[in-house]
Amino acid sequence: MPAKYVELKTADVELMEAELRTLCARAGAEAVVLVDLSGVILASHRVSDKIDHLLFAALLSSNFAATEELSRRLGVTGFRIMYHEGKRQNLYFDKVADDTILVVLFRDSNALGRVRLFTEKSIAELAKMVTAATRPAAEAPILPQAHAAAAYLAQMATSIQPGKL
Amino acid sequence: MAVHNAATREIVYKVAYHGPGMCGKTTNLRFIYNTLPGRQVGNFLVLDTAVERTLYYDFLPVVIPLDDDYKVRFHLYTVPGQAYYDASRKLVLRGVDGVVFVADSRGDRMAENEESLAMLKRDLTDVGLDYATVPLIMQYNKRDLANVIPADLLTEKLNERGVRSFGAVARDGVGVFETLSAIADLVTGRN
Ligand SMILES: Nc1nc2c(ncn2[C@@H]2O[C@H](COP(=O)(O)OP(=O)(O)OP(=O)(O)O)[C@@H](O)[C@H]2O)c(=O)[nH]1
Ligand SMILES: [Mg+2]
Repeated sequence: MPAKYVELKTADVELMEAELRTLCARAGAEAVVLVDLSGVILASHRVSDKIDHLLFAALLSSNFAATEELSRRLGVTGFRIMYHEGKRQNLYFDKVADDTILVVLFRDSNALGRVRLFTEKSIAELAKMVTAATRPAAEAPILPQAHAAAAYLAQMATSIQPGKL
Repeated sequence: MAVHNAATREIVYKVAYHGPGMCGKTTNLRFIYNTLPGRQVGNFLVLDTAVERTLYYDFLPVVIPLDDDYKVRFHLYTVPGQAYYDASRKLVLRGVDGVVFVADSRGDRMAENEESLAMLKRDLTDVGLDYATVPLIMQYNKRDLANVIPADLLTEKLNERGVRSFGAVARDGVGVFETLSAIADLVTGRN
């Protein structure tokens, strides 16, 4: 049972972003983001640069995964949707695929029903895209950049010598 | 789950530090955070209790910028070691590309180490992964203390797969980057 590998070509990301843009406009949302439950943003639309995107993705995914685990333990089956209501802004989560969620950020002037309707419409399309980009980790190609980064860390390990055992 | 995004020129791997309570997982991440230059680490998220026991998890993104403006990121997480935070541990293990098992070398901690390892195996299965094949590195921490368990014995009891292991004094940074480099080698397939 290997972990998975997601390969997003530039064209894939453009397609995902186009779908997110359409959803954002139709639903009247502020921002939308497609997040892998391991904590990585796959694509997003209009997420503010004031937000730390890496942290945002880690928190959104763990938040959803925690609630999913809770519902599993309660015997709730088919858990898919989660909703956070804030004072002015709300967050709406919907599951796209096993390990992927779509999160919509919208203002309270907007109706939840509208967000829900158009999110549902986008999910099937997005699920297809995510599935097409996902492979077993065993099929991941050799990535020279990844090797270079690992080599860099190996170099760090030899140059940082806080004292030998 | 490794993600290669050609549009943003990023490659991301997820690594979880697992091990019994107080073995030094958060300390590993803190040393990495304090040592790497600011452009190579993101914000360090620590979700803990008043007494610094990890409650949910810690998160530290390590970013290695390369010449061709590619970025390779290692998202480091720690799980809460205390036995009753089982649900948090599981969500951290979701989609991991590699695991660092941090053992506590103190003479009286063998049972906790073994219990934690058993939980790791079970939790990996629960999130659809397999302990037998997950990229894994062992770290034997707290080697500075008196009455530590000999490394051979820790290996015999805990390292049944015979993966690479490192002695460490995480509080002083000893062995921390060796461990990080070893798991980075595994998840990227470099070694
Ligand atoms: N002597 C010694 N103390 C250490 C070492 N590494 C960590 N510690 C100390 O051990 C204590 C626990 O370390 P943490 O890093 O918070 O442990 P943790 O594994 O994150 O614990 P939980 O969050 O409860 O799972 C702290 O007081 C650290 O300073 C070490 O190598 N030697
Ligand atoms: Mg901790």
